[in-house]
Amino acid sequence: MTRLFDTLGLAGNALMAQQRGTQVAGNNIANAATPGYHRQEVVLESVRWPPHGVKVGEVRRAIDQVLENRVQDQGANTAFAQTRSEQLGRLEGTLGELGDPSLSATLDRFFGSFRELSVNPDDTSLRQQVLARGEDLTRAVSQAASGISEQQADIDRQLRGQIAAANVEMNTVARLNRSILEQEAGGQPALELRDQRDGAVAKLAELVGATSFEDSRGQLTVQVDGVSVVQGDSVRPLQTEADAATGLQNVFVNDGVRVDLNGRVRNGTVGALLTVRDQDLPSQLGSLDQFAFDLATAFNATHSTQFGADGVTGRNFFTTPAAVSGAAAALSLDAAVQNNADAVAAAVDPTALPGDNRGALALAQIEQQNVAAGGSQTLGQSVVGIVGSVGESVRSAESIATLEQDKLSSLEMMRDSQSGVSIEEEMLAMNRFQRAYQAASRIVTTVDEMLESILRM
Amino acid sequence: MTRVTDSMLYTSMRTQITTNQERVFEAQRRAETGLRVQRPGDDPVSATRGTVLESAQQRLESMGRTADRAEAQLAASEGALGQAGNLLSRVREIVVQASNETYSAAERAEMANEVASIRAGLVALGNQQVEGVYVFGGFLTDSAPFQADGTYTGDGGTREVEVAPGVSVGMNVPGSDVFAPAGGQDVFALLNTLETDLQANDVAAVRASIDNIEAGREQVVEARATFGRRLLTLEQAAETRTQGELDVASGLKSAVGVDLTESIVDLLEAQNALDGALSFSSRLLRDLSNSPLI
Repeated sequence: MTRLFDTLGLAGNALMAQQRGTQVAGNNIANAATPGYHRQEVVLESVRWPPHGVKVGEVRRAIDQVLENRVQDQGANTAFAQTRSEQLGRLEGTLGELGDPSLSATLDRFFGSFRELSVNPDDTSLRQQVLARGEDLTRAVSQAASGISEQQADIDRQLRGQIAAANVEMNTVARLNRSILEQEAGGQPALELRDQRDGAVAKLAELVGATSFEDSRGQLTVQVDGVSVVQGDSVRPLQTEADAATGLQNVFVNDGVRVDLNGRVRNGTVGALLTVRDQDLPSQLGSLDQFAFDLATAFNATHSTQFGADGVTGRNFFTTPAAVSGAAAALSLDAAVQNNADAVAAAVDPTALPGDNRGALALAQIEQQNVAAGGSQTLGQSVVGIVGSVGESVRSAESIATLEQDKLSSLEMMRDSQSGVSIEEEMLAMNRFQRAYQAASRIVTTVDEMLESILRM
Repeated sequence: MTRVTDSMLYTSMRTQITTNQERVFEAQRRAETGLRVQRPGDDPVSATRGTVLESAQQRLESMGRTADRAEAQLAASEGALGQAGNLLSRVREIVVQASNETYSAAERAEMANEVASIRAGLVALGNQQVEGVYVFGGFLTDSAPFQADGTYTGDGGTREVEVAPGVSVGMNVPGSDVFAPAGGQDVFALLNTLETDLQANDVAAVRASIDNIEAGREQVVEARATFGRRLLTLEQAAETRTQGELDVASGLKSAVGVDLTESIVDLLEAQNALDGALSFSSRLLRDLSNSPLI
C-alpha cells in the first residue's frame, strides 16, 4: 500500500513538473518578440529517492556567454564605426563638394580676377572684382574653419548627452546586481532580471565601449578600459567638464581619485565622438590653417613690393597671420586694401601707371608656384589635398561601418539561433508537456481506483 | 544544422527589403543627376581629379575672356596702322611729285599744307583709344601719347596678357616703336622737315628725302604686320583653349559622370530586386500566419 501512495506522490511530482514546463513554454511564446529576451528551458530530472518521479531540476536561459560577449563587443565596434562615419560625413559637407561654390573654385576665381585685371589695370570695376573675389576666398576659408570648430562644439553637446545616458544604464546595472543577488540568494533564478541587466550592459558597450564580467556570486562588474565603473551595487559615474586650455569636454571618473578617460574610451559612440573631435577634426583644421598661412604669406610677399593705382607701395593684401594655428579662422583682407580698389598693387613701376599690368601678372602667377606646404606644392594642390584626404577618410569610415554592421548582424543571427524563440518549437514542447500531464493524471486515476479496490476489500 | 527562430526570419526579411530599397534610391539618384560621384567620399580619387579638371576649366575660361579683350585692342591697332600706312603712301606720292621741276612754288606750298594735315591725321591715329585705353601709349594708357607736332609723351612698355596656358601675347606696341624707333626713321620729324622744305620750295632737299620717307612707310607697314602676327597667335591660342575645354569636359565625364543607359539599366535591376524581396517577404509572412501548429 505504501507503494501505491508513493505512486500517487510520483504522479503529483509529474503533474507539477509538466505544469511548470507548460508555463515556461507559455512564457517563451509570450516573449517571442521581446527584445533581449533569452529563451528559457526547463531541465527535467529524475527524482532519485522515493516517491521518485520527475522534477524540474532548473529553469535556465539558453545563452552562450562567449557569444553574448562577442555580440556586445561587436555592438561597441559598430556604434564606433557608424558614429565616426556620420561625423566625417558632416566634415565633408563643411568643406564643400564638387562644383560651386567649393573652396577650390573660389581660389581659382580669385586668381582669375588678377588675370582679368591684367587686361586693363586702370578699370575700377576690374579692381573691385579683385577685392570681391578676395572677400569670397577669405570668407570661404574662415567659414570652413569655423564650421570645424562648430562641429567640435556640437560633439561636446552630444558627448554630455551620451555620458548622461551611460550613467543611467550604469545605475540600472547596479540596481539589477542587487536585485539579482537578493532573488538568487532565496534560491530562485532571476532570469528576467539577468536579461534586463544584459540589455543595460549592451547599451553601455554601444555608448562607451564598456566590457563586463560576472563573478562567482553572479554580480557583474563593468569596466571602461580596465577602469571599473560598476562593481556590485556601487557606481562610479562618468563626469564631464570643460578643459581649461581648449574649452572642450574632458571625460573622467572621480571618487576621491580622479582618473581621466579621454584617451581611454576608444570604442562605442563616445569613443568615436572623442576620436573625431580630438584627432580627425584638428588634423583637417591644421591643414586648412597651413593653406591659409601659405596663401597670405606668399601673396603678401609679392603684393607689398608692388604699387597700387595711387603709386603707393608696401601694402599687404591679406592680414598677416600671427601663426599657422588659427590662420584659417583669421584670414581676411588687410585694412589697407579693404574698400580701396586703388590699393590693389597691379604695377611694378610707379612711373608706368596706369597701364603697368606686370604686378597683376605676377600675382596671378602665384597660382602656378609651389608656395604651399614648405614649397612642395601649389595652393590649389593644397586644397585638393585637403578635400581628397577628407573624402578618403569618409570613404574608408563608411566601408568600415558597413563591414562592422555586417559582422554584428551575423553575430546577432547566431545569437538568435541560440537564444531566440521559435514558436513552432514551443508549440511542440507544450504539446509534449500536455500529453505527459494527461498521462500523469491518468496515473492518479488508476492509483485512485486501485486504492478503492483495496479499501473495499 | 541551424536552428531558425522567428526573429531571425523577420530580421532577414527586413534586411533584404531595406538593402534593396537603398539600391533603388542610389540608382535613382545616379540616373537623375548623371553623376556617379557627388561628394568626395563617393570616390576620393575621382573626386580629386574632378576638382583639378574644374580648375583647369576655370583657367581656360578666364583666359578666353582675356584673349577677347586683347583681340579688340590688337584689331583696332592694326586698323589704325593700316590707315597710317595709306597716309604715308600719299606722302611718298607728294614727294615724288614735288621732286618734279614742273611744279611751282605755289603748288609746293599747297603740298606743304597737305603734309601738315596728314601729320595731324597720323597724330589722331596715334592717339587711338580702345575702351578708354590709349593703345599706342605703352604703359601710359590714360593720356594721349602724341602731341600736335608728333612729340611722343608715352613710354616704351608692352602690356602682355596670358591667353592660353603658357602663351602670352603683347596687346600693344608703343607708339615710339612705330613712328620713331631707335635706329629707324623718326616719321614725324621727317614730315615736319618735309613741310618746311616744301614751304621753302627746296626741291633738292625734298628729292633727297624720298628714301627716308619710303623707309618710314615700310616701318609702319612692318609694325602693322606685328599686330597681324599677334592676331594669328590669338587664333592659335583659341584653338588650344577649345581643345583644352573638350579634354576637360570628357575627363570630367569619365571621372565623375555616369553613362545614362547604364544608370537606367541599374535602376531597373534594383527595382526588380526590390519587388522580388517584397513579394518573397509577403509570401513568407502568409505562410507563417497559416502555420498549422498555431
